[in-house]
Amino acid sequence: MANLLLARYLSGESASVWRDLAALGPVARMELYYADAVAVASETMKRARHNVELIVPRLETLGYEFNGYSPVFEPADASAAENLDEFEREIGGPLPLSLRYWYQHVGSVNWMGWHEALNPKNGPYCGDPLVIGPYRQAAEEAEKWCDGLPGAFDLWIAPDALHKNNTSGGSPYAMRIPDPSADAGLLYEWSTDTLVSYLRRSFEWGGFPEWKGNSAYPTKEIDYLKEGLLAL
Amino acid sequence: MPLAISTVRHNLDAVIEQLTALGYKFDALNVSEKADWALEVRLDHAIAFVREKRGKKTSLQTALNDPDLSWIAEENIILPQRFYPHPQAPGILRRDPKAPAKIKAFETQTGLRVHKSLREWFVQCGAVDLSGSQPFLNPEHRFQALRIAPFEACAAGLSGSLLPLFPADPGCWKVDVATGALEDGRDVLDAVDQSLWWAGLAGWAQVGDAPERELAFVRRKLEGVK
Repeated sequence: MANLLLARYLSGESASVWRDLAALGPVARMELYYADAVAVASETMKRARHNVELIVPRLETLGYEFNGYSPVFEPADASAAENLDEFEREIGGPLPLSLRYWYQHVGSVNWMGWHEALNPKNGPYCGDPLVIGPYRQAAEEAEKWCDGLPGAFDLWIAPDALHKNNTSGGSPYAMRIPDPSADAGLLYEWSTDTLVSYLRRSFEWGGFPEWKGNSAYPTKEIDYLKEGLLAL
Repeated sequence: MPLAISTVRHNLDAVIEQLTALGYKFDALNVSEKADWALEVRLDHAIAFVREKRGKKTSLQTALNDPDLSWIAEENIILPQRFYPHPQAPGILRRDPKAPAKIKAFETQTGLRVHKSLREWFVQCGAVDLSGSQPFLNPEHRFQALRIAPFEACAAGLSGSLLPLFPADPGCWKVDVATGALEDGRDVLDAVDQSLWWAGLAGWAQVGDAPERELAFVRRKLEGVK
């Protein structure tokens, strides 16, 4: 069966394809759509990986001071798919395709840290640097708060924008799993985006999405970080 | 020669089943109801009465079909959605067991004879509303889906010998009561079945970018060759 959604995605309709996939809900897993949905998720997260690999050395060039709480970028390895299969079995259901293929193709990132323009210490602005923590660690954290897994629970994948800036804030960004949808809400993120739309916005702002809509954004640094990134 | 009503009914059920499988969001199942507390209390007491009479484990559906609850149909009460798929519950398809009597009364009152196709539709199928959305089949309600109101609502809109099939919509199909033909000459059952070929979204027949993948999925369960 032709991958109609992938064809649309490749022709540039990325946002509308993901909107349609998200609207399908669990139906994205039916035979009619599944291969196509996986192809789109896979392509999207390969682009995300490309973007991450471009941004990390650029941040280093800019003298960005990573907080070092966890690796700046821990790439997914060859066993990622197998490990994710096992994780999905353990939690009693699938991850949304977007999250699954993020972990399968990208891995985890932690760009929390300081930079005089991008994320100034004690400054009035926080750029919400991209963080997607390792799922195993996140699940272990969630297990402490739930009565054991499996069962639907919130997988905490990143601190909220304020905590990223070492300030008291709200609940961590999370995704409720298991969830058979292609994409799902990124809970406790102010714009109530899905994961893919959050990532899209993040890369459009060089990994610092909170600068969107702020006329005082650090133009030189953001333009440098986002140069040559692929659209999600 | 018009289609057999059994084919139309089969195809209607098949389209509803396939649309449901595709995650189609039926508007009829997505209405927030205003609670009618007087009705709720009346129903609770009546159902409790039937269970007292027939046994505590009497199912809700059995209780609703008990002669002591015949007032639901007699008073033409539309039950809250939680009673779906009881015939008096709102929803996508609602067959009216009183349709033959209503048609007879209509014929007596108007002096018109209701054509076989039309009669069969209202007796075997009833009211249908396939309005809804799905990202590919009907994105953002692009097309008006097949919908036919209950017989009494159609009858209330009678103009001459023309019966509007969804009076709330001025552009709805109008059928000649005596011939069962729409204004374009098609038999009403043929028209319904042709609409079902397009998953109840006949607008796709007029445009070139129909979602063939989804339509093929729906059509695989349809009877009859188009």
